[in-house]
Amino acid sequence: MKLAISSLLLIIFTGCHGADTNNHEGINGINDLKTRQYAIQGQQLYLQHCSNCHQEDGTGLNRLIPPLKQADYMVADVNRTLYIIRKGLKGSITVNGVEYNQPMPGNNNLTPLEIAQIGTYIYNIWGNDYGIITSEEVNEALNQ
Amino acid sequence: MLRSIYFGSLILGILFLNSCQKSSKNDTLPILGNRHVEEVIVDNKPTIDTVYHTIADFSFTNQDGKQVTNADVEGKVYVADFFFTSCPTICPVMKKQMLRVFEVYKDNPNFMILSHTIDPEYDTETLLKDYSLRLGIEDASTWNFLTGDQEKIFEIGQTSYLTTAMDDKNEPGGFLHSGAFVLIDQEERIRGVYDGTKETQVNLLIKDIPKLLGKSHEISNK
Repeated sequence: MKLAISSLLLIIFTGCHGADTNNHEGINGINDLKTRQYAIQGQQLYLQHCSNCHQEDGTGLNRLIPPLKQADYMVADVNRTLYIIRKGLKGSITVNGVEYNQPMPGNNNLTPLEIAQIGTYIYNIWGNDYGIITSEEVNEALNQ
Repeated sequence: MLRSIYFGSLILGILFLNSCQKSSKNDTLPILGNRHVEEVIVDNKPTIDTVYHTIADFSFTNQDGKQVTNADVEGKVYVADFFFTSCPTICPVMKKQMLRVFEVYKDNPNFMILSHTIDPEYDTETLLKDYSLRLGIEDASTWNFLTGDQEKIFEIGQTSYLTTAMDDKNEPGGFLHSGAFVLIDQEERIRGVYDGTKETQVNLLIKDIPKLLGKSHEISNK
């Protein structure tokens, strides 16, 4: 009986946190273990460095900040994306037919590994299935 | 016995669920900031009157190049915040949340939003116009994006709205500012401060605004 009461209480307590969603949503679908590990790290870095502007769900902000989720501009060129994460971007770009012109600051403090992890995250969720992005790929992209 | 314990837990559960809703049941919002009492003469009798903290006089330029002063917010409820367009940190989140407030109250003529740039040198009225249009704000009837003398903006931020707004070379983007949404009533008194980066806090703000608007509605009906 004590078990019954405590389990009831547990349900009541956890009920308060019902708003918490699954933290690894989208990542669980990644089959390759190393890719998934990169994506989990990448998600943390994304929340730290990217989601303020591009939003947690990657939808951007109206015509001010472009979306990453299902964005043709991002899908079209992986190396360009890796380069922009590090160096930032200035000037007008068109994403999914909409023009954006808000400067993006660079992230000079991010290491190639961290950029690889962010890249792996954003290229393996939101319906993307690119696979792992390695530090070597990031280094190549940065030296272009 | 078992049944009574289950019943007890159920009541406890209901209490818990109610406590989950943080919104205050109070219909009256507190009046924030320092206050002092003054002795005034009413009907030849000395009476004690409380003087509340209010927003100081201001004059800034909005995204349409129009001067916005205290006269424009007189008798209105408004929300004030501080941001800059090139802000790489909390501003886009604040603007996303402020958009939610805007969507709810944009058609109420007694409600306004004043977003002050703390980087007026870069954020000219032309740039603020472009920024507001891209955000989806067609005109300045409700939501004003204000620019002006930087010293004056810092000063009103710190001394009137009691929030942080200043230069800081160590911050990304070069400015330090809080993400506060400050709720001001018809008499220019602070009635609430909410974290504009948190959805739950902004939900609370959206619930609190009618508590002030309702009052002006009553007055106008008299």
